[in-house]
Amino acid sequence: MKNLYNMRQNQVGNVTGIDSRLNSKIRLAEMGVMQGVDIRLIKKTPMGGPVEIKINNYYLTLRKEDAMLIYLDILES
Amino acid sequence: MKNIPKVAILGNPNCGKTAIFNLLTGLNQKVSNYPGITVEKKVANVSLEKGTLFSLEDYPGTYSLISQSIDEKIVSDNIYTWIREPDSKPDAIIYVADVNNIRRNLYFCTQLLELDIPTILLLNMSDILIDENKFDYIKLKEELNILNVIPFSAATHLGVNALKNVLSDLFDNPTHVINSKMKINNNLLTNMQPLIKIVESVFHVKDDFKNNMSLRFICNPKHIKNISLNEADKNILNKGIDDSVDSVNDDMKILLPTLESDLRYGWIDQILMSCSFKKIKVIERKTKSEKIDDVLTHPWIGPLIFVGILYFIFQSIFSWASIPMDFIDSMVSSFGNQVSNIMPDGLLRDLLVDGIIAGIGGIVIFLPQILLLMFFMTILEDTGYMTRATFMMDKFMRTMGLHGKSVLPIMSGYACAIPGIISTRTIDSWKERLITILILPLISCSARLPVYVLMIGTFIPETYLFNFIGLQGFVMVVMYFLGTITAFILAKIFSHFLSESSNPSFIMELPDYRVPIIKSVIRQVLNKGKLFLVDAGKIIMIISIILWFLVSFPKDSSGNVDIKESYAGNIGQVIEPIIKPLGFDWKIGIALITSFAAREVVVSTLSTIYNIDDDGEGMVNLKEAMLNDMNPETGQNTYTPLIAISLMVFYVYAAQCMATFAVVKSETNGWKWPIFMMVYMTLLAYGMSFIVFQVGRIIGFV
Repeated sequence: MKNLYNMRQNQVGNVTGIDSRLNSKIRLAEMGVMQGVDIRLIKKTPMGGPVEIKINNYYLTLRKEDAMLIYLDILES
Repeated sequence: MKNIPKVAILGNPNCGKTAIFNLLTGLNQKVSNYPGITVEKKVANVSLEKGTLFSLEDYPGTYSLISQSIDEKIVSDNIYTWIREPDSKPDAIIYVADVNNIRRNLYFCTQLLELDIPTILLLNMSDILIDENKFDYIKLKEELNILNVIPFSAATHLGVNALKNVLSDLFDNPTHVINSKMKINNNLLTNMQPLIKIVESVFHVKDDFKNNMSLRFICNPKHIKNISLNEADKNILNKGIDDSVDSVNDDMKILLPTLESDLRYGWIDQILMSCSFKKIKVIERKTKSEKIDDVLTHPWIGPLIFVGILYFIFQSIFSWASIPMDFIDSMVSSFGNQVSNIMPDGLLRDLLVDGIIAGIGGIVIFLPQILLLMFFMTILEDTGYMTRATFMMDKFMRTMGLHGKSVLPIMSGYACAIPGIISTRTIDSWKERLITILILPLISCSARLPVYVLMIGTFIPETYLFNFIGLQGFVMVVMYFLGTITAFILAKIFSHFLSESSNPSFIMELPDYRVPIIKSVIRQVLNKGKLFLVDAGKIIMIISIILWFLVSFPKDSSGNVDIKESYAGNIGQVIEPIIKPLGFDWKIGIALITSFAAREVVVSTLSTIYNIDDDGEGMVNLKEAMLNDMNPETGQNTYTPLIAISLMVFYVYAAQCMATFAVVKSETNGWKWPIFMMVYMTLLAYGMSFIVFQVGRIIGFV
């Protein structure tokens, strides 16, 4: 199990859990970031900047500290 | 007067609500590919072919009833008002959904359906529907039990007639509707009983609606704080939440915060499955937007491109705009000369030529630059590039105590601080939003430009540094740089000392790249230009008239006026001792006072002063007048390059804009922050100007 920030670019993972310390867990859940959903890491910005992910059919940005609290199982393609 | 029907347009950000609003109203309103462009609700009257008139309201894009930022709160506040005062409900809701992203778009939609308002679901962007996203929309209409579901496209006008027909049928035969609602299982309902009873009595809602609303409060008790309710109601609601949460077992408590989302998406997935919607997989195939982003948001090429774009924009503003600016300049002075030839000698002619035409001319001249900047900004927003810039700049902005979403306000600030301050509403963290507002007036706006242009054009020689850098252009860049750098340094300092609440998340959707609709871009730019001319024009017109009076009176026995002895001259001389250490004389003193309302007035003020002072017919050339102005006591030039630089530095920092002050007051809900802003900027302006002039003199500049 990995957290979202540790994924490699273009790797796809299935969300297994979201840490309850995550600040915006309600907003993320409303946008569909919840257990069981597949997420692809599109890219990370340098020096610990935000990451871009693809979820359902759209792109979302997250900061590193939030991404580190989302846990996934990597899906091999 | 008979009340006309009211229709509200609602939906997620970036789904094209505003484009649809424009399509239906023909009103030129901002459509953009940047979240939060509609930061207030916009209203317009629309008439259908049959002559039925209705009022259409466009609301900011929202993901949920639980608001995170000010623009979302506008929506949530309105909806809670509809709940508590059913008479204020709209007669219909047009819910706009991006057809390629239907699952997430249905989340807020199903929250709205609970109000039992007749709802038309527009599946926007149906012209670019991807095969794997297809579903049975007629079945969706049955499942949601709503008025209609219409495949739509704001770009190709698909579905416009169908929408108009549905609306016109509805207005002819108003129907009472009962939309489908999410169901909550009995166990949970039993636990929530204490709260459900209170919700029923506070909001007068029934059945599934009261259950689902109670669930929302239990999941997110903070949500209560954001609703406009009286304290007594808030207290009993909070008590109800506590009682209900107590009866939930511990395993369940952990799940509570996201329970509404879990249940709602469960229900939406069920509905979508019955509409033969394929389960969403993360698409492996690279979309066009992703391919573009391989370059545009590349870790290091991306920021370079961003800087390149900024450089190109400012370069073109200064070079391209000079042609229409020269043209306007000559038009204004020949118009002034013509008027003074035609009209008989007298007070009225003086007022027109020396007061109003000179004043208005001073502002019209920098319209080309504003229009160009607005044009580039609109293109960047409408393509979707602006969100990428926000994403790339977030880390840097955060290091400086700001937020990724401060990028757009700061860039708008180069045109005018006011739209910049309004657009900070999308920043969902109060501390970063406040800091952005406080530093925005330091960004050199277009109102400073005439000051820089006049001073540089008059006093900085047209020579070259190292044979290739134009000195005039260099000084201009230094002024812009000075304001920008100071803004970032102060942001860092403010962030250290302010203890306001901060939201550490940065959750933003990156919409697909779109080709901007050129017609819409041009309309938006012209609209903004018009707005600027009217707003600034009003202030300048009034000040020009007052100023003309103050410099034209009292007249001596022969009917002439010595400007130094006029009312304005007296005021200028009173403040001269205060500003003398900065190198300014009483004439600049008058300009400092008049430009307190708006910076650009400084040029028209000086222009008026020299026009009155000039005995001859027609208009004087301000540049020549200032260059030739001699101090009668010393016989030397009144103004020198050092004074010009000191004055420019003063205008980089000074808080001279009443309109900004008023907007900061309304956006921060009080006098505290606008006064703070005014004080720190004035001190900074005086201090920096003092240093420039005194140090400059010591090291031997004149």
